[in-house]
Amino acid sequence: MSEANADAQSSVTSSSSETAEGTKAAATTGESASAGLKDDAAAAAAASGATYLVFHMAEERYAAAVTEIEEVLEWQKITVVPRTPSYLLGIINVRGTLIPVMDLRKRFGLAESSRQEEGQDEESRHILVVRILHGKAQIQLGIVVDTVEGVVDLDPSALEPPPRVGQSIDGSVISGVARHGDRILLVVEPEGLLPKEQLDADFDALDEARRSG
Amino acid sequence: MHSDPLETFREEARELLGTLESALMELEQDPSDTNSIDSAFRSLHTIKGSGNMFELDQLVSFAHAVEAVFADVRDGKAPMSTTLIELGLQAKDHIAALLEPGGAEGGIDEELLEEGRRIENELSKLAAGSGDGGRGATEGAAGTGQTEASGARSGGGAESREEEPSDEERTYRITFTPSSDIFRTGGNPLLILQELGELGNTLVMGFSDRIPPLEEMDGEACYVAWDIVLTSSAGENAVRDVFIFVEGTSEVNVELLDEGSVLDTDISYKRLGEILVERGDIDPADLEQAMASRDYLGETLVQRGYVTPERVESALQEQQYVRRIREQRQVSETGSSIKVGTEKLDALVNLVGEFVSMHAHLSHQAEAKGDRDFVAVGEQMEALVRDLRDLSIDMHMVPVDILFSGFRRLVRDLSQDLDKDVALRIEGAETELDKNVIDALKDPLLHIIRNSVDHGLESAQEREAARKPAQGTIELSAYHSGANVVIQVTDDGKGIDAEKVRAKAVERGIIEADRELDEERMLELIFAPGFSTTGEATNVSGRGVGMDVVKQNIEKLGGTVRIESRPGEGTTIRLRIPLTLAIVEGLLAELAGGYYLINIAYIVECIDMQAQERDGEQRFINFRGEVLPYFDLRSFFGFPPADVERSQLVVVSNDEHKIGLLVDNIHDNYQTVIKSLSTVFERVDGVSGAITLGDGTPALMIDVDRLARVNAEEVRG
Repeated sequence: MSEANADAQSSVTSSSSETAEGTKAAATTGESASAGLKDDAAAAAAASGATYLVFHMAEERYAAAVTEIEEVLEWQKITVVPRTPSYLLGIINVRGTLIPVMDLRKRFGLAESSRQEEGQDEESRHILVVRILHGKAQIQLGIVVDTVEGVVDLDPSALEPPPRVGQSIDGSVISGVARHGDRILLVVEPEGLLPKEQLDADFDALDEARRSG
Repeated sequence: MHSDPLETFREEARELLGTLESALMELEQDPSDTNSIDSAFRSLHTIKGSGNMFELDQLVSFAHAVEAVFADVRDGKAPMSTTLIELGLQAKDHIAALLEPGGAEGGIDEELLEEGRRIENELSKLAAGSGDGGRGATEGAAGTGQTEASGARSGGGAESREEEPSDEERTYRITFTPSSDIFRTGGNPLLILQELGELGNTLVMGFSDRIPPLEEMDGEACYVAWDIVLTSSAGENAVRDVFIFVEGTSEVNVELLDEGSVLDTDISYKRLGEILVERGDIDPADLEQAMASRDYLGETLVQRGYVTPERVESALQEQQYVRRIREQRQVSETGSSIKVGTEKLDALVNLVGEFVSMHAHLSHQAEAKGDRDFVAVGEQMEALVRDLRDLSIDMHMVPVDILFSGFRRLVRDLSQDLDKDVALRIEGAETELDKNVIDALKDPLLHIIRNSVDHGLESAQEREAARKPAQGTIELSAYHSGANVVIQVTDDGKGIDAEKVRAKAVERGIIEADRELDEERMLELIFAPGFSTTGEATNVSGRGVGMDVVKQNIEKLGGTVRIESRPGEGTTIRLRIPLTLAIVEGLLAELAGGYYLINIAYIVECIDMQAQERDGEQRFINFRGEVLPYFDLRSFFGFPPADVERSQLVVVSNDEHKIGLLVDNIHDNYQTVIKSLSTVFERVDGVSGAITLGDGTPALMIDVDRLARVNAEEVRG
């Protein structure tokens, strides 16, 4: 919570020069990303598998089918919604629509400290917008990830079921593992990221914690 | 609007069915209400007409059968009866069923068809000719005191239904040829023309072709005749009445040229030849000959001496006149209102809201920069923005009547199902509310009214035993109260025994047995989840939905529900709803680096609060001599305590409880659109929505009503 507050604080006091810098930085990352995209797009045309977006978090590489992703946003200030489970950061405004945002690191239980150790700048993070079923409603959800690498084309044969090792990661979220060159990609299923039962249980736990303390 | 014309048709047809139902309900109260008969007929007729375009044959033929019966009633050929109203309501339901996708097209349900045949069958028994006995009754009921002008009736005898005055303007052609001795009998044709002029717009054309040469002329005789085209809302009889003293001696013909009905939208009017033949000015055979000459018809006719130039001129005038009024009517019908889909309206209100926020941002920037020109532009824009906002909100407002009138049918059906005699009284139906609010109120009100009829009102025997009128009354009323609209459902039934409610709540484990509650709190237990006042749920108010859902729905609208009851006298349920959901004005408060909006409607005042006045445990302050409980919003929302000397306390009130909300700082007033939070956040307490600030970042809206109640609960323990 304190970290999100710090975000809010920084943007409130941010002057116009800072914002300009931010945009510039964003523009450069955008360029590099699109260069990567171009190469991969050529590769994608060659093979006939499905296309995946590759992103990083805590030294792991993840992939999500591009068909699942509505857009990739540069980092923007997130408005905190209080009294929520820690992985729900708040809301952002995407062209007039307010979209809830989830921190994927926190959702996966990855240590927040590692990001700082890696020298990861908060503003270099990206937000993937997905549309998922939550309860009975289709909702848009923003997912905060560390960096977006680009897209790759994965042959269906490259996909394997997730290893059954003592992973801390939920099977309904990671649907498989893929080899791409010498890299291992964890394939993320956005549909599984915010099950209503889980969220309700987390809210119950919060209520309980407040009552007892 | 819908891109799918069939869906648009369905939507319109549903509206028309609503009109039909209202008309039938009116007729139940007053069977002689000719406006309602007309309205029922027109609704059916329009549904039939539009249905034709979509080849919905079942629907069209059914609507036609029903319409035919109402046409007979309108024309006085069949009586209005309770059976017909009942069948009309069934027919309305049947049409609604046929309208559903898959109902009228493709696989038609055999059961549905059977139902249609049954209704048609029943209706045919009521149709004209089968029940002659009823005719007199209807005429008696339909009579409005007009005297039937006998004698000089023109060919328009078939239009007996035109005898009723209505709002619709009709156009008549009157040919008036006074008897030559009209002056000798004390008549004055000019006065008659004047009187006609008082009925409406007239076009008067005089004919001098009967005037003899001077030497043959009788100075006291009248040789002039007139054609008058009259547009008036008066009925044909009223028009004839003008000639009452000269009828029998003078020649008077009254013919209807234009019905002024919505259905008759063809602008073009009869051709000159037709008009002249109709008037008897020329012989049809002559016309045919003249037509063959291919010259201008009027000129040819005059040249050949078939007709005088005056008569041709008069017919031309009539032609132009009728065309003109038809054109005008079409313009006014298409121009006075257009249909816009609610989604477009919602989008507009949303955009206006964004615009309002953007303008606020612009003004702040201008002031911060101190640019006088910039500030001036901002101020000029403010007036425009305000007008735009008011207009867009206004466009979203509709009278609650569209909601209320639907409940007539509900109460009627319920009273039959439950065998209770119930009258529904409606007050304040003209009160306007946001369309979206009205839509959202439908289910909660439905539930409340069901409950009132089912549980609130006693049976006739019980009522008589309690010395009450056998007929129970439900009063549904709406009125303004500040920035809110109050909607109230009152019954004169048995009322609610607060102690019984309490006992039930204890039994259901909703409250502890030893909990002390005042009467109001006891009654409020009805809204607690899992509460139901009768042991077994009846199929009327049962359905597994309780008053708790009603309460939740109203609170989602930012409204409140209150209940009052006196045993033996009745119960009142009062909903207080904000006028519009669209745009609110609030105070922007800063808290832990973020912004929060507090609706200005709740704010009493803001006071400075020094750090030493605050005491971690002590959650009360002395506010002008009264003990005011307050929330430290930082602690409520789980933010770290503020490390500042001064904070601001916003004193708010929801009409029932007054509390303070402690925030870091307060900023300007802010006008904006409220957006709902994603369902992901539905369990978040203390916020009721979100807004976007001028720079595009979202901010949360504080749920003052909720916090006030949470606080009151905590205080009560």
